[in-house]
Amino acid sequence: MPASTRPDVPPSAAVSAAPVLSVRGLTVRLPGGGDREHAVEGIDFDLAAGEILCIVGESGSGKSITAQAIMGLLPKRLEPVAGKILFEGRDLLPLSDREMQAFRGARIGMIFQEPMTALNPVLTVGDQIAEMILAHRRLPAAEVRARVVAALAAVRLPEPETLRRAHPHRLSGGQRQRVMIAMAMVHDPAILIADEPTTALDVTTQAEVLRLIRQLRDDRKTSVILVTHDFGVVAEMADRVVVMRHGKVVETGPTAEVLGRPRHPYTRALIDAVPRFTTGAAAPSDTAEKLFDMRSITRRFVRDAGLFRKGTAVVAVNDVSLSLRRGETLGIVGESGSGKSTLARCAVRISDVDEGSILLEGQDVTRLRGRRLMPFRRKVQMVFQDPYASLNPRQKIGRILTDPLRVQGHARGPARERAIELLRLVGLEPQAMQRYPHEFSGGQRQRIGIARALVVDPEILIADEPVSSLDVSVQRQVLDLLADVRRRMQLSMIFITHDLRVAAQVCDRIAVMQMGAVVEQGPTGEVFGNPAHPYTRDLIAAIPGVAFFSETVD
Amino acid sequence: MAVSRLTYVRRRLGRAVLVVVAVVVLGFFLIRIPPGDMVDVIVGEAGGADLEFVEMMRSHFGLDRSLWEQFLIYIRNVLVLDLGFSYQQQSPVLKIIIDRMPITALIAAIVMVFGVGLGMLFGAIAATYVNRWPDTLVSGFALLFYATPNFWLGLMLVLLFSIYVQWLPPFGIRTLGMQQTALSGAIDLARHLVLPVIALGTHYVAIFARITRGAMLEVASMDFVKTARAKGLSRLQVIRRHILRNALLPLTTYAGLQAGNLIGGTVLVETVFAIPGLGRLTYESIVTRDYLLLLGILIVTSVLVIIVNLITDIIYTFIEPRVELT
Repeated sequence: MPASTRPDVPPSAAVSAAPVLSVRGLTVRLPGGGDREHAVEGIDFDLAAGEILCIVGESGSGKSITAQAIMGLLPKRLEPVAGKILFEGRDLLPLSDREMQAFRGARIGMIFQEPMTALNPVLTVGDQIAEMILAHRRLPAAEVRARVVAALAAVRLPEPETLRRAHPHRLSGGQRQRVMIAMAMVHDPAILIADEPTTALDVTTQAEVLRLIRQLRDDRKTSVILVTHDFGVVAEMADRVVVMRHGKVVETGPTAEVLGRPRHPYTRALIDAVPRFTTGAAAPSDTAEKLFDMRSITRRFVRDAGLFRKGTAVVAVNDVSLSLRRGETLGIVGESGSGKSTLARCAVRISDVDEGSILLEGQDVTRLRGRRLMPFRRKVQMVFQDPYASLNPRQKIGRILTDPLRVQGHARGPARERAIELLRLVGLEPQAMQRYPHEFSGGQRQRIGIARALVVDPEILIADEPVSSLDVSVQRQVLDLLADVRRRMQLSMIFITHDLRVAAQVCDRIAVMQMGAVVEQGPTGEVFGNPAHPYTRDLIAAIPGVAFFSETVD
Repeated sequence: MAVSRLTYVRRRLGRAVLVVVAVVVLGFFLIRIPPGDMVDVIVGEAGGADLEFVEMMRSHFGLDRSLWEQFLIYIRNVLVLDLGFSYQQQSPVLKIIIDRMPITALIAAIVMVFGVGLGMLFGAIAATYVNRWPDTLVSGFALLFYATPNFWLGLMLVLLFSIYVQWLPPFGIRTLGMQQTALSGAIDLARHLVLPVIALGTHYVAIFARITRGAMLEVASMDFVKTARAKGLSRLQVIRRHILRNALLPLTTYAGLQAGNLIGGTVLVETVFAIPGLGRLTYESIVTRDYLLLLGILIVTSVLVIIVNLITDIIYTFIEPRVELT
């Protein structure tokens, strides 16, 4: 695949002819009882032929609703009450579902965020693309098959003839997203709507998929609406940008203008919240004592073991040695499947290790179990990725925060006081003690997760993707909170993330993992500034908007 | 590690043998837990006998030997497919079971086909019109029939269709004393089976309607349904090709699990409608303490259930590509 074909001058200047799509005053009502009356209100924007337009905003901004409204795929409870969606001069909004069918797929294609679930699991890839072809054209079977193969080849999937007979679960996330793109492009639609198409993908895969979308735009002059929350993606892809907040457009303009000279304070705040990929962090001291030491850790999983059969072993973590010095933050970066989460689970002794040893303050804790693990549990705590799944929905926050203390033998009264103290520390009111997790937002829940980890006053915090599922502004706040508590409580931290930008900001030292092994480790500045391993270089090159967001930093 | 379908079936059969062995062992000992035996029943029916005669009978039937000895003898016989001799019925157990099985199998098969077929149809209607009147109607009736005991329903059906309007025969499987050709015999049998099948089947229609509805609603919220709509497919195409197709997966699993249950259901219905099938035979063997017969039925029905489940699992591997055969 050739490198980026993006011209230096965005084609938006060249394509100022009549827009393919004009959205005017689009207003969609929310069902009663919500915190606002409209999901989106008075949305205006144009999409020029052959242009990539990014709609950017945080969750709840209405960006996906806008995309769905264009496709006529709004959930039933959401009703457009005003405005026009003019596609090639014709208003799509008043069309019936049946009338919209002629546009969907044929004239406007759409791809979604989750490639893992966006394809029907029981039909082959080829059948699903063929279905798309036959939905709009009557063609003989042989012709359909030829087109399916051609479509798969066009998105650079290997061996399209074999692939078309595969079911989706045989494909990786990136491959599935390519299949989705192949399917959406099969009728050469005028518009491709991509709703967070790379959010669920690894960074190197994301770069490939974005490159593919841009290439298709260049080759076929398709107009693209790219819905995203990531300003990195915007910087990488967009010709023009629409910034949305609370269901309204706050700013529209060419990418260079919006990113370079944002007019609206919200846009500015969002751009400022994007973690910069800085590589100039000071090298940490090597003199501090080794607090936590993992030596030659290997962890295998056995698959398909049966009553009378030995399964096959999969090595998730392969001979990894890492150490954490007092007061430092060690970052573990890598893509999904690299073994970083398994390593974290071994480090907190939720998961056993098959080989190697774990030393805390020089004492071997590898084989401790049950009661004898209690002192270790007090010193090493974990913050999990998903703030929705990691808090017991049936327990009040008070219970969630005091349980770790009660287990450690504290009395009820002091435990409560300590819990309230921690809630204050993470920026929540003591009243939160009486409430259940579902009453809080994602960011608040992650604060509660952090409070729970800190309530026993640990020395080491192991954070597994603690900000990955949060909006960028909330992400910023949680990272600031972590930096703050780390300083105040003199914590040492292992910070696991797939996002190199976050790692660059937070970590003193970095270990890069690939396929279960550490391929490179060292001080952050060195690893990111002067990467030795080709995989590290690939990861850095794949960061969306890396050029934009490391140059503009002061 | 994935294996071929043939290897998979072979492995599953191997495991099935273990299950059958477990059924035989457990069945043999469980049946002997309640006090009293066949001799008690015979003596009771005869109005009493002296102790010497009772002992003689016990030794005649081998009941005076130790439990272990009896067990070993039984196992040895089962291995050569000899399930023993029923003195109450005066016939070998295996022969009785084979005589009685076809009618029960026929009823069960019809109930299964109608239950799954109609259940899916009604469930699909309810899911398509969720929270509108067709859904309310289907869900309401499904709940009603789900909660109705099938023996009561059977009695009511007899009352209505056999006593009041006299359209259908109230019991048995053939009209006595009628000269029958193959065709008229089949029609006569069908007329006799209408009520029992309805009595037993409504319950399953209700269950499968509820499951289909639930499964379809769950699938409808999945991403690939959105993809299907974004392709420009019609509503009906989306429902048939994407929603219903995926809802079949939990339905198949459940249908397989219901096979065992269905045999339990035939006990009641065959008793109510006086149908000489396996279900009523089970009941008779219990009240007469015909251990060997009961144990035989137990073994044969477990083998049937195991086979049905195996077939279900094999069907499943065809409709669900994600299953790895192990």
